[in-house]
Amino acid sequence: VDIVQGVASGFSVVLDPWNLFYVFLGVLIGTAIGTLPGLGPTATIALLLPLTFELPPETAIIMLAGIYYGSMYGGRIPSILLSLPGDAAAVVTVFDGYPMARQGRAGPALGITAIGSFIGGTISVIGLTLFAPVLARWAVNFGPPEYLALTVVALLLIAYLGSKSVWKSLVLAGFGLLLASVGQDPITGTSRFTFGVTEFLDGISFVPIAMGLFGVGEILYNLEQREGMTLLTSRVTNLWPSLRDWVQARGSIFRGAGLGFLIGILPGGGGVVSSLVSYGVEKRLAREPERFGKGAIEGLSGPEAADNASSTSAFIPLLTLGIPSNVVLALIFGALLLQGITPGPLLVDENPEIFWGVIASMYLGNIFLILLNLPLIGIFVQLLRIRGSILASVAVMLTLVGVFSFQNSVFDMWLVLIFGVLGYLMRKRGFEPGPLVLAFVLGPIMESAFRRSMLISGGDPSIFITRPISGSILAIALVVIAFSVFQFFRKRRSNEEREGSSSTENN
Amino acid sequence: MHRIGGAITLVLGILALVYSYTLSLGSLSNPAPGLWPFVISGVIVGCSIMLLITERDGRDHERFTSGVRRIIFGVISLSIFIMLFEWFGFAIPGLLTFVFWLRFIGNESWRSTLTISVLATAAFYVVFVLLLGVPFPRGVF
Repeated sequence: VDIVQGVASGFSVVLDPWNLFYVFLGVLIGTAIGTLPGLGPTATIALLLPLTFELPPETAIIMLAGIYYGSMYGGRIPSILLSLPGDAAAVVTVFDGYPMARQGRAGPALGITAIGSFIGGTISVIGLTLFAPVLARWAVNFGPPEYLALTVVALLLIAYLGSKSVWKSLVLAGFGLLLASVGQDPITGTSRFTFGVTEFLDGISFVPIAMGLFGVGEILYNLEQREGMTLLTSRVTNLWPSLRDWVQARGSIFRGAGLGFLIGILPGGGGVVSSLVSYGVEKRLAREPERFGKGAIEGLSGPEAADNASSTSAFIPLLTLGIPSNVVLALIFGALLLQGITPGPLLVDENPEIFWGVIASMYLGNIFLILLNLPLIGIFVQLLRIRGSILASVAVMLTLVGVFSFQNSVFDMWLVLIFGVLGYLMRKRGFEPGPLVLAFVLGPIMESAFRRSMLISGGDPSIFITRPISGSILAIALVVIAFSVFQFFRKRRSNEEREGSSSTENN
Repeated sequence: MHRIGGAITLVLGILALVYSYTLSLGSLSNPAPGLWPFVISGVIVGCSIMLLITERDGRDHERFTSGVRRIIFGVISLSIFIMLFEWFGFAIPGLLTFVFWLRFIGNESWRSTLTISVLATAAFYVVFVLLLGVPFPRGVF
């Protein structure tokens, strides 16, 4: 009954004409930037941060959420048509989507993925509706030690699942925490890491860091490898998949939705991991696995359903625990913090308009998205003709002017530029900036949880292990670390064996 | 060469460790301002060392190509934009930066460069000044 009431109140928030407009705007921007290779959802949300500051908090999060799950729909378009994934989660879509387009079946490929995305997204919102309030109620009892354990484990999992190098991610997470401690000490007011710069006394704001590392960093990175004009060769005709296509894809869509929902809840699990797992499962279940990679429709629909489902369920830890499970959600978390709202177990009671508003907006958002992505797909396909140089110059200007508009500070513009160059150099060296920004957002929470835990226990660090919930959270973390160390040694051994036996093999 | 990333983070981590120590650590039951950064710096140093040990090749490490020139010019032009912006406001520096990015970094034709630059500058002006009321530094416009 609680849930029914909650959803009803959520819909009353979303059906406000302005909010309705922002849901639509969000999913429209999301599909558009998902379609444009070179500007992902992270960069876009970073660019728009200062503008969301002007909106009421529930409207801001509704729009940002729409950009995120909308980009999951859009990412499939260049994957299928050009073999150029619009974002990381759409890489898997290339495997079977591009071969289908080459066989003249671009239409059904786009059609079945739109349907799969819709089903995956909608099933996941239903799961979110039922599961999130329960989890929030349970998490209300968490104290500082549980929070510290949870945030540490979230960072570890993100480092482990979400990147190529665990150690690089952890180093960056460390720097994120360190950057977050710049400014005055929260208890004594002593200034730390300010080095006499008065602008640093209040700490470094999240906005220029995110806009620099993701916005400018990504633009500079794309500037270096300028690709020639990509040729759009496949004609998109007849979007509707045949009945045979649907029968073949049906199972994969529902399996993908379920897998995506579960994996999306894990920190670091959204997007890429869920679509890869779904692809693996479908290939294993298939009667003729050799069709995969040559245009198997279930290798396309399953991962698409999974990445949409995971992008929705990724909101569960944010809305119930106050823990962002990936970079995009860290940005949304940051956007809420700017508005003076700290997401956590109390959100459902203190800010029901945000909690239920964003959930209700996702039901509508998915309906808007299927309308945008079936009848209106032709418009988005035309976006692929926009040249990178135009996109880059507008985006870079939007970043600099946007960050100025946030606090009317030229200092922030310099920070954006500096973090942009840093972000570019980090990318070149294989340091993905995601964990840094995530840790930066979590930094103040972690420090105060640490200090309060020490106060509770009188300086005894065993408090993290002896409290049952934080103890079990940390035990899970240990298992993950042990597993990754084990994997490292196994991989090394198999590499050495391979190097010993033959040198022709790659991979 | 591929170790340079880990080496830099290691050095920065050690500097941060020393700096946090000078902030005074206090004790676990009564932490002083330096304790938390000290713990974090320790983690950075430890993970940097693990990174240096485990990263045996530069597999996820990309070469700089000749395209780097575009980035250097891009960054220089943006720095000039920020300085001009502070003195002359948005309109003229913004227009010049668009022209530079489109014509010299993006290799657009002069015609499309000028059209897009004028339209984009105008659009930015409308959105930020007229709609959002952002107080740009007073310039020529």
